[in-house]
Amino acid sequence: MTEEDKQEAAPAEEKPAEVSHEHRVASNMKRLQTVTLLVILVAVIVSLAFDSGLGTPSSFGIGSFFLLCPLGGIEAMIASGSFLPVGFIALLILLIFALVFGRAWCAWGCPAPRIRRFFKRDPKPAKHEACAKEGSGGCQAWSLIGSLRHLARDKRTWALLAVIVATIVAGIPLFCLICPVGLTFGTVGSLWHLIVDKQMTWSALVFPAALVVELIICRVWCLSLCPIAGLLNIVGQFAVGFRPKVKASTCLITSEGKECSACLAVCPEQIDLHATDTVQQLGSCQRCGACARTCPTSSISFKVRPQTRSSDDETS
Amino acid sequence: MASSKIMSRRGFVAGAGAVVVCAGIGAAARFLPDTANVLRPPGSVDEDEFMARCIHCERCISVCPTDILEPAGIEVGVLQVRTPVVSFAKDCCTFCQKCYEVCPTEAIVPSDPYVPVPGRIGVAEVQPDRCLAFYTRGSCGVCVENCPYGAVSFDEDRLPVVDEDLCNGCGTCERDCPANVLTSFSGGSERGIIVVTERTHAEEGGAL
Repeated sequence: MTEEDKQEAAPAEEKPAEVSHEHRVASNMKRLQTVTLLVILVAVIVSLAFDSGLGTPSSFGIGSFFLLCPLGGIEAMIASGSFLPVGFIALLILLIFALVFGRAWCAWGCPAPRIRRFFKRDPKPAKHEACAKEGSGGCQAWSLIGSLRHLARDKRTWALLAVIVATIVAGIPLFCLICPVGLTFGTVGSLWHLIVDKQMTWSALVFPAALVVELIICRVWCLSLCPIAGLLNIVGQFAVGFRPKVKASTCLITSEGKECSACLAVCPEQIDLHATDTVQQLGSCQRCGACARTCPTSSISFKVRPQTRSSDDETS
Repeated sequence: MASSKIMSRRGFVAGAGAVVVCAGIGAAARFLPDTANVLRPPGSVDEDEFMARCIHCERCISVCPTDILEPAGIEVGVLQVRTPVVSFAKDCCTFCQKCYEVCPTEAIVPSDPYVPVPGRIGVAEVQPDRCLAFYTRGSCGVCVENCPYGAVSFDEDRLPVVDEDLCNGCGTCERDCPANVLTSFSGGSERGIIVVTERTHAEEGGAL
């Protein structure tokens, strides 16, 4: 017991090599996420500044090769009642990406969580509802019913359904008008238009105001309302790659029965890695690495493939 | 925590309620004018269809080599915001087809400037209250000289007249018209010849 206590209190250099490696990887992930976000912003500015046709996250491309926001593409096909072959392929590419990396868009590309966090508007942190003690922490195996049940309970699945119904009724991609991603880069665009073309439109005021309502006044867009998350969650239930894995032998909860909710407290999706339905909860994992960075014993790592059966050392 | 029910009754009612509310919002959106009377890129489909397809990616606005496309502001319409609209203030359209090339949702299809209908941007209309040739007969003929498609010619009074079968709305006449500069004393900002939408052209019963 005292050994472990000392280990927790010890500075990073004195921890065993494997421990600081997890933290290092997770810190690099965080740095890389800033880079990817900046790349997207630079791409949008290049699109504004040069006749490149690069686009925005609604659709990025060069010439007739493009990727398309899956939700935007679905809305356009529903609203126009037509099938877009090239658009459909673009959609598939992105959904396959989500099949590998789950909700990675949220942590690595979307400006909305960054804006929320910048203004310190995170939803209230969750607490472990039932800590899995040593020996009883076995997670439920994956099942289709379990996934569907989890999706039905997620408010964002209903948000997605609401967006699709609204699009069918309105006949235009209605959600695109209020999407925080669109509003963010719409703000960038209107400011560009104002500064470079010296033309003022009300958009330059209305877009940021809408963002304030959606992300700052309301804290729960990402966690409860976002239909893009709702769509990616469906794919995410089947995305088993790069999920966080807890090393049971060093985790404070499973190896010592201690109360620790470090990982749960920092997870933007409030995923409980020690719950019975962790497998389903991980369907919404953004691969952000916050859990691995925060774990006091560095017990969390991101492996490419999950363990197909639980061994003594690891829970899957 | 995991019960045999998929979700609670309250959760289901809340979710269903949200879906109904959004259907209502969708229906209300139908009452907003969803067919704004604006100039669209060449080769744009019907305004109804255009609004169903455009996802405001702004690729067409970016790629246009003559920079005549700009994102509509909220003033144009709440539903139309960030969709591409044409402005001939600084340049004209060359029908290069790049906007068609980049559009991911086929809101823009190929257009041929020599086959104006369908696909033209609009129709040029001479503005008698602004055109210099009306102000001083025989004084100006810039639009007639510069029209790349021979759609503007002089009538017997040496006043410019647009042939609506040839005009594809490229905007060269509007860009080159000097009326804005030379009649600045009389106020206003319209030029002596402007491109209007098909709808406006039909409503006004054709121009001179």
